[in-house]
Amino acid sequence: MANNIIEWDGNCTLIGTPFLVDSLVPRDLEFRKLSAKPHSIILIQESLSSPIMEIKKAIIPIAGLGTRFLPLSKIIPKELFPLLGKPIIQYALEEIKKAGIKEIILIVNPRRKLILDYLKRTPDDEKTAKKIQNHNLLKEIKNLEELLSNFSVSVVYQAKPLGTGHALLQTKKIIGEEPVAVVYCDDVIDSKIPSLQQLVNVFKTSQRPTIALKKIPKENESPYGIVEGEKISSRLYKIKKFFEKPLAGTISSDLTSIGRYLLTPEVFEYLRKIPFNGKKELGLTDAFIEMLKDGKIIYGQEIEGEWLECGDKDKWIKSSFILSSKQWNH
Amino acid sequence: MEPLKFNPITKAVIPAAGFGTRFLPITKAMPKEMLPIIDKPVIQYVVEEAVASGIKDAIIITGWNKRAIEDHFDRHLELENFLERHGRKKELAEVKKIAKLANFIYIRQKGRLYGNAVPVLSSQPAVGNEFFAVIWGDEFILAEPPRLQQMIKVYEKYQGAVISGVRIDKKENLSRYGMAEIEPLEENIYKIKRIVEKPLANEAPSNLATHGAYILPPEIFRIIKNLKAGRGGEIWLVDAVNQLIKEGFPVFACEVKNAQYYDTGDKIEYLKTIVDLASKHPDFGEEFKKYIKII
Repeated sequence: MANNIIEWDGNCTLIGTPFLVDSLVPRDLEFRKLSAKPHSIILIQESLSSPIMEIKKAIIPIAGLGTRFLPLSKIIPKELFPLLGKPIIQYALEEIKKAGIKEIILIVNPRRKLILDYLKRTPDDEKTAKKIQNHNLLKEIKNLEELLSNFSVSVVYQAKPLGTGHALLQTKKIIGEEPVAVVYCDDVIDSKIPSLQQLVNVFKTSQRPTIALKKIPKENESPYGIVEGEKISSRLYKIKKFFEKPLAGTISSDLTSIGRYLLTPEVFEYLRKIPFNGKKELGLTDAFIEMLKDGKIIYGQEIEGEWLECGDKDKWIKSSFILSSKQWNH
Repeated sequence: MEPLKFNPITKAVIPAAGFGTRFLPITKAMPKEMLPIIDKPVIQYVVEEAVASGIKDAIIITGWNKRAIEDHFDRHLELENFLERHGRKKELAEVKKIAKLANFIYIRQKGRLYGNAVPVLSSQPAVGNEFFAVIWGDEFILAEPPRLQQMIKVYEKYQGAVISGVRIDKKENLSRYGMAEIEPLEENIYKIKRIVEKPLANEAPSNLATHGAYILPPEIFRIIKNLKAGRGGEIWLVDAVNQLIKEGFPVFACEVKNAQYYDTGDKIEYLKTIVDLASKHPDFGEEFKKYIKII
């Protein structure tokens, strides 16, 4: 028990009863303050014996066919659509960078590879911008070059649209036994602390799958599904139940999951062993539901910041409009 | 010289070879002609206008990095199968329709010269020896009847070249366009005496800008070939049209009626276009209008 530091593990039954705290126990808490009972010590020692998992990689799934934007998205992936002068994907990249992540893995449809051109570094663009002497443009291009230089990029292909879970499984060889962030470009979150950083902060102590949550009006439908959770602290929940795209008004919870996830290797194990669902797809939520059945712990962090949805056309246009008005008001 | 034949206009040249530098970083991986306007790319509005005006052959002049345009106007079997399996009939019909809009012909812009007459010259092998239309691929006009149809009426009645005209209300904007010196013929139709490209505001011959769409005779190819580089060392279509007039060829302006012009040339104009069309959208226009009032 070096330094008497406790890594709080959600699975621990510390004093023989389910252990509830109103926030995650900070890592520098001294062991003796919690319990001296011998069976607890064993549990804590176990958790200390495994190294602390750190998020070093982020997956960006882009394999969807974007059918809510047709015919516009027939060829152009929605992640390349503009949002206040930048493609939507650039917001995700900026967020990933700010969370200190340097490796990104793209999941791409093999016939829709336009997005890869965007991620290539193109010093020529800088020359062009210099030639037309547009200062703002030059700044934008330099920003993008700098952003891209931060990452090593891997690409995996999902040949058939068989669900988000199936898409994620394609990255397994690259991910190995590490935890990973999953970022959907559909959700842009305008916040002081980037939403991914908010999740990473929780993960430092939770070391469990941690998903991003937002409250929505009960009459709204959620693109991701509603969750029910047990509140642990002001923004942290232990997830109790997932409802995949329920009809509006049928569920009392107002928490929806949004497109940011931190996944542990265990989630991938579940994705491998669960069957395809009724829609012949393998959903990430399907894996979460199975995990809950087995008593596994999944956390949800209610994200601070404004959620700008870009998942269908009217929301994307609204989001463009919101961001522009914010910029012009400054 | 053979007498001129005033053939029906069935061919439209759509220049789409420009780099789209002003829209970087968005245009890094997609052509500026593919910029989204609500639910369609700009160039689809352009092609639809042409088709609604009777065009059969859409001759798109492309360049490096423009493959997405060709793919957009092609079949997409994977997507069609997916939509079929999921019973998305409306989207399926929409996607299939695009490939059947016109007979698409693609020509790579040739030569090392710059300027907006260069793509027109590149279209010659597909146009041949007949009158044809030219419409820019990165801006559009919504008009009733469609702009090109209004122009074709003028072409048929007056038998000459026709350029679409837009009135410029703000004096400071006069120096952005080719302003026409005109002689009125009827309500919205004028004979053009010459075009002054980007004049100083007080030197503009009128406030009618010749802009956007053209019906041109095949003679224009010979003229462009012999044209000396103009402003900025580039070859300009307006210089070719002025030469056409000098040679005694009748050129008319058709001020487009019932029209709303959408410029997508820079980021702010682009956003205005989106907001305007979103508030007119049949599915969510009303909701969007309420929404922008709140903000």
